[in-house]
Amino acid sequence: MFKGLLSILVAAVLLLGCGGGENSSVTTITGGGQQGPQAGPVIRAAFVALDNNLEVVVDAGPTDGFSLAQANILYATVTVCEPGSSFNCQTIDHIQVDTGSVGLRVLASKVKALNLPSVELATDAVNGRPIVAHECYPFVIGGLWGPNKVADVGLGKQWATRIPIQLIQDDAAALPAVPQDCTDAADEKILSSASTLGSNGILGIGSVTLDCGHICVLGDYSNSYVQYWACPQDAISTVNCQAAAIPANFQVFNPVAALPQHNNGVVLTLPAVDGLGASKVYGELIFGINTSSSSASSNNQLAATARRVNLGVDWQNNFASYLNVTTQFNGATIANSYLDTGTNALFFTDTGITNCLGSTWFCPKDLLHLSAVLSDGDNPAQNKTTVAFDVGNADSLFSTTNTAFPLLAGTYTAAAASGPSFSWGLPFFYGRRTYLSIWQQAGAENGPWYAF
Amino acid sequence: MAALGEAQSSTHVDSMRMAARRHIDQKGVYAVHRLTMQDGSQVLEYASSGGVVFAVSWKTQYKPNVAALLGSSYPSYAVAVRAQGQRGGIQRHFLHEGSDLVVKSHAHLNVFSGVAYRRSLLPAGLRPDQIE
Repeated sequence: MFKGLLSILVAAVLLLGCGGGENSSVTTITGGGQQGPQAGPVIRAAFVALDNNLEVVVDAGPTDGFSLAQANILYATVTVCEPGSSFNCQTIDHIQVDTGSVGLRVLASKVKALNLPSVELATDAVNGRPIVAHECYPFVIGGLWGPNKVADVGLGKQWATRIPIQLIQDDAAALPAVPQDCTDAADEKILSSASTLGSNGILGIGSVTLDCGHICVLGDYSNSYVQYWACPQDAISTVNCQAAAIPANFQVFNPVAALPQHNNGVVLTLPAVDGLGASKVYGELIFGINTSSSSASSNNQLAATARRVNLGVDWQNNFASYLNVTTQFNGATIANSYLDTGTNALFFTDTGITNCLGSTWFCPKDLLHLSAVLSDGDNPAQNKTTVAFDVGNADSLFSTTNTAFPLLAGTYTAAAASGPSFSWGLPFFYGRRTYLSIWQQAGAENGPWYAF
Repeated sequence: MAALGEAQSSTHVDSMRMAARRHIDQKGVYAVHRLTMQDGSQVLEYASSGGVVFAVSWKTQYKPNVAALLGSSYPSYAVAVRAQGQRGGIQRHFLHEGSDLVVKSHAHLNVFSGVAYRRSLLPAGLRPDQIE
């Protein structure tokens, strides 16, 4: 079965004549600038919709996400249904695939035709009406506000049933309004539109199952911002909302971990992209690792040649490696390193590479061929694996109209409390089959891992 | 609350408010007040011998209350965030290097880390990279 599928893919690639796969050549566009913006190829291998896969795409983003130049954002189309219904559903395109967060979050306007049940935390003792969950989900800068709902989430033919998700409130008049505490948590940057998000939502399928964990279970936000709020149903004011303790099974959950069978991780395959990039790149996201047993499923067996690195799990003693791997680069051992489809470039520190004028992107005169060594998080001496990568001139890349840039890299600007970082964003995934497991699921009981 | 630029004594208020364990490391010309939360998350407050918090750092499994940690320096952080403008997609690291205030922060899978200090308050001889 696997061989058969592979030959179909190869044949399709040859017919299209635009490459894909590790050893094939891709049309390379050179120059740029003098004769106006150039567009690279559309790279799309034949995709066969099977039991456990989803076609994903790197492109210019949602049509109403106007004006922002998108670079290396990976999208999927996701179906959201009222629990138990196969009719009351919405199919939503351009949901960003993010292995650096957990949970499905979609613009509320995209599901306004649905009557999704709220996540009920308690019953009001006075009027007997439900107290429901709202969430403030923070990024390092920016954040999302909106109610939690229970939905059946369709990923291709796979269904995560009755899982908590978050709606990203994009109706400025909706009540309850954003609490001041959430505005603060978002550094006054509440992301609430396709244009500010660059997507219609986020499909967080990272290495863990929950989007918050301990402090939310306890409702102890004394050192943080409030993440979960309990508000009366149809609350008109956040004055009536209170910081909420929320049991783990009510928190926004990793949709892949909630699948009935293919729930222990994902395999992401993106075709190789050359030179100044591609205007559009299609790939395959497969659910489960080593869970496919018949030709009805896309093969997700861990290849014998795949090299595996383990993420660190020792939070108490080895913070910098927690949920990270190790990267050795330029003689430095960097604990805080990870693969992340949600990061749109490679970010690392190399003072020898020239930055572009006025930005922290890299702008080397000539293409740079570099390499680094990845290894385990908690035991950097273990599972050392060399990764070669190239860095191009970001100004040249951005002079095209492309959206997929395998050579895009920049300075990691925030060497912080845990030391320097090496963020292996989307360029890592081009031309690779990458396995990303989920902690505490089958095959990753003792900790999550990557393989490629 | 104990924040950048404020008096060291306020770190005691912190550990009470946060139900955190407090450990103090005397490092010669400064002291590190290490607040450890129930989940093992840590906030470190660096106080000079003059009693002023000149740096804070965090390693937490949640986004810490940056406004509370930065105190009177928060407005210049907010200005820096606004100045960065709007960009699409997800951001996982942030840097502000102002004339006085420096903030570096990072988040991935709900693990947040960061450091903030004021150059004007650093004890003589202490390099910023010595703040962990």
